[in-house]
Amino acid sequence: MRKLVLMELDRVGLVALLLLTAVGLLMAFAAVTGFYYPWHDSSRPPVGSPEELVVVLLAATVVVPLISTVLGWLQTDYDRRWNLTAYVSTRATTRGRMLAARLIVGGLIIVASIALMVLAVAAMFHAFPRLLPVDATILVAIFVTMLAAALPAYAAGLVMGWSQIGRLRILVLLGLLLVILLAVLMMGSRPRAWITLAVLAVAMIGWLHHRYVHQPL
Amino acid sequence: METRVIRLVKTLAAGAIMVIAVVMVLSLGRRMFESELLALALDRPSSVSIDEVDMWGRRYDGDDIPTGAILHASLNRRMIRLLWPAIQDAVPQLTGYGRVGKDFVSRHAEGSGMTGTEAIGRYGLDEGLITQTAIRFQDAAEGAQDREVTKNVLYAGPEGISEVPAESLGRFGDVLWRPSYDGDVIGLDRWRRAFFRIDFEGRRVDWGPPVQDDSFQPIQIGRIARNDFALNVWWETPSEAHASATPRAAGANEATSSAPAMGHYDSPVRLQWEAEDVVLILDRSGTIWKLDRAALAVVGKAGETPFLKPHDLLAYDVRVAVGEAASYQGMAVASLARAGAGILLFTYDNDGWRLEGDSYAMTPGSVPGGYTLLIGKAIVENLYPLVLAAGSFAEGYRCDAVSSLHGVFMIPSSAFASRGRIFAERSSLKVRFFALLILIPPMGLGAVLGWRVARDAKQRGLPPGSRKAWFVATVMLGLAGYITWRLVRPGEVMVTCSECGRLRRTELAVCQHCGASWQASAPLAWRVVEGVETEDAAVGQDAGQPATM
Amino acid sequence: MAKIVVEAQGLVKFYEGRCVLDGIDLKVPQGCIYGLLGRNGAGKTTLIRILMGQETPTRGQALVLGANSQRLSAAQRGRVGYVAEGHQLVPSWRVGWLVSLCRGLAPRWDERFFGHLVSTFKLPMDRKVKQLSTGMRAQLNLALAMAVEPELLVLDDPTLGLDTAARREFLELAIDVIQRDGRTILFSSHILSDVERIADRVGILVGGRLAVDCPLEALKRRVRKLRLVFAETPPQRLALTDIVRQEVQGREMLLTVADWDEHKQAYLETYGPINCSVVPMSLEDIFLECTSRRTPVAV
Repeated sequence: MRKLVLMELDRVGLVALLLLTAVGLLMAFAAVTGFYYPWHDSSRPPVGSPEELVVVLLAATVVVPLISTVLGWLQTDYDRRWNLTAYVSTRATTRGRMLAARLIVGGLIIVASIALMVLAVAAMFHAFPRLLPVDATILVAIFVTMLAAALPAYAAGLVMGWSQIGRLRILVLLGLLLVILLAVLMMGSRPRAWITLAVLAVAMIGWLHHRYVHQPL
Repeated sequence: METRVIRLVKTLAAGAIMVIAVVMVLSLGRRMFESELLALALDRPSSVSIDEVDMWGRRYDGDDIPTGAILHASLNRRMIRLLWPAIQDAVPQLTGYGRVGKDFVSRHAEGSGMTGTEAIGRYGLDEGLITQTAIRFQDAAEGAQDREVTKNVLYAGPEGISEVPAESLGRFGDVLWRPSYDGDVIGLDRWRRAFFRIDFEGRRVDWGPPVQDDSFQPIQIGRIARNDFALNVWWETPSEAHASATPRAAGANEATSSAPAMGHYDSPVRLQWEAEDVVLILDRSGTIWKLDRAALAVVGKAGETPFLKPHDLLAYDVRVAVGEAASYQGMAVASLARAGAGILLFTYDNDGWRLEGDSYAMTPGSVPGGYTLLIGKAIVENLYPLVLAAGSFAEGYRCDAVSSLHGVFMIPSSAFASRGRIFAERSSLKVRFFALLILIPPMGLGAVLGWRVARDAKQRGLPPGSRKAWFVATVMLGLAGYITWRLVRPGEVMVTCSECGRLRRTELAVCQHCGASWQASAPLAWRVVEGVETEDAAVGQDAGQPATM
Repeated sequence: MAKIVVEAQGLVKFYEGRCVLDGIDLKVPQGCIYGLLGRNGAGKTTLIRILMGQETPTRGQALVLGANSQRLSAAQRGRVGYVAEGHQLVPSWRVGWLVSLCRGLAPRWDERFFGHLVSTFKLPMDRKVKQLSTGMRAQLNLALAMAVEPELLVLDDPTLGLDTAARREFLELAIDVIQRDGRTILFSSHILSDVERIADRVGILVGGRLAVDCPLEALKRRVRKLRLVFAETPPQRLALTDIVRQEVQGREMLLTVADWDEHKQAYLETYGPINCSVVPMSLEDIFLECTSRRTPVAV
């Protein structure tokens, strides 16, 4: 199993780096525009505005799932094109284990990205005394929503990257992404959205498991 | 070969994805139709005139000087179109921000009236204590560049205020609270059944007398509003209204006008969000009460949400009419009713009596494309799974207007939900009958799709039990069930049966129609086979066994 | 009494309505070198892929090392070495990384033997797979398959892309492997001289069915090609069973018969040929006779 996890990490390392860089840039943008910009200009409000932070985080709630989709897609599309599973599954392992390793790596990258964001936000509040505190429950809700949306988006990328329906894959993937984003936009950062997205994530992983493990290679 | 467990997991996974996907897309469609219908149909403002004579029985000195105010409320069509379909609920409400102390502060004040000390605060409720986090900016000493910034947090409990969250402060129970315009916090502790005021600047917590009436169930205090982005509420003086309505004639001399212009700040009647002496409290029944700010006791009725309870309103916005020294003189309520939609605007005097009102209801027939939008909305609602549409009946009266608007899985059928509300109020056979009539389209769609699925399942050789289960599931889930069947149905590859000539599944040992086995293949003309002796039961040598000619 | 390492029971496979495997029953005993033969499109690769769990059968089942091939555990897979047709490897991987992956996954790894193979084949560890020639990729694949000390080695056209010398080395390796106790090899190949050299049993797929499944010697013994000369025109049809092929040229008839015995000999003589001689056949000749397009498959 360790070898399989290392194999996945080796392949998706670049995307993980891009994702984390994107996250870092997002947070830097928030820091500069939201909290640092009207620093010495006395005619402007000298206080960091929490709305900017929330807007940036809400934008991240859309961006992080998109990047997660790309991550999932790249993992399985690469596999499908180069018959990676077809080769490795004939060694002393099973397709189930390979899938588990893939999900572990993808999940860890997503969780790490969001954790980085949480740390960045906490550090900013600590570092900038001009910041008004934002209700922690709002921030927690946004981050949980971000994670809840990223997981089914990642699963959708995995499913469609593995699919063999040709060019329709892109359309179906966009449709699934639309559904995930609609769940966030229409149900908000609330438990009902989290539950819906969790059910969607589990269902898509179940479908992927069936396709990946039981379909011909 | 798939086992039953694998097939079941596959079916459940596909079903869950399809139900969620279909419901999400249909919900978006429904909301877009609703918002467009609202935006098109409610296209003119409701307006009422507020006469100060009615409001507080005083007349402004002077002849022929128009007094009072004209209040308008209209639908904010841009915000409805933008936010109604999707993201309204996604944006969290950032509450609790307000002034600190008596210093005037505006986060967006640009070069206006900054005093030596500026402050802005955020108020929160943290484990039974109401907190104020204040950031103060002190003008720099001469020659220095930066302002001095200090930040401190105060904790307020029922017994007092402190810089640390001490146990001695006590803890509030279930509180309804709000920071007031002057930096104080006004609230109701539902456990203690009494109002309180927290003066952070003076480090005082004052309590009012106990509230005796058990039927008093407040849901909002201070600024009475909900989804106020949906409504534009504004007021103008009569001369402002006259000026904007009458185009200036060429060469007209302003001096010939009989009435001097009276702007917002001159008007004896002004409408704003809060008064100095009174705080408004909205009750679950729709009644709005007046709370004396000093005594912290309810001193009478201010008015009500007209005709409908807050439960049935999609949006409302209350403005307070104030006179000299910002004292309370009356109020106005603008509201947007639930589907059936209309804007209501009513004014109330100091004693809570209704004065003037105006309302304007949606009529799809009056706008181009109105009926098309209505039909489109009905079609989308009827594509929902029957089981969710039927649930609208039960949820219809339980959910308030805002929750039902936000409903994604529940309340998809607004017509059915409204029947549910009527049924809750008066249970009758007629109501139930009409309610069932509304369910006919989704039932019909489910039945048609279920029949197709059952027929296809029979052709593919599913046993009767499985066919029935699929039929029922498709009837209940409609389009989602049908798509799920198409994704998971067995027998992707079918060939013609040599006995009956119909398509048969290749993975079955016998034809699902005629029961013929696969032994019809012509035997080999020759074979050279010599078996293997094994450890297990004798294989039996097949040495040189000829095929028959 | 041999233990059965590979077994197919009534295997049927349809591809898009076309029957590729039509009821394959096969047993490969332990310690056997089994050569699976057939023309292009006969179903060899499909059968092997089903055995390796990469393809699902439409009906029937396949057992490998006693377990269902569709549900092999990691430990069971670790006992099988497999080289797929075409030597497909992930092109962007470095050879060294691939070796370390296979080594890490394998429950058993013969480092000495692998090192010997690497030096014999001169495999570069630092190069990427896409930079290797087809032959080197084949050698790498073989080395990786053999290094795990497999109880069962399954090779799908393993010498594809190998030059003559490399092919010879592979054959010798295969013999070396098989001489270790209890090892079994199942392989398919188009180079029948190689098969003839090392195989114990052969199977020939014709039209999706296993027309031949017997020891190699028995095949050579039982399939006989005769040249018959008649005084006049030879009879059009011989009332004889197990005719593989029958060709008439003038007064001469070339007759290939499966399961030749003295009864058939006696019966043939009743047609009164003036001359009857046996045409010697190699495995390749037998294969061509069995799989000729003019060979009747079904009755």
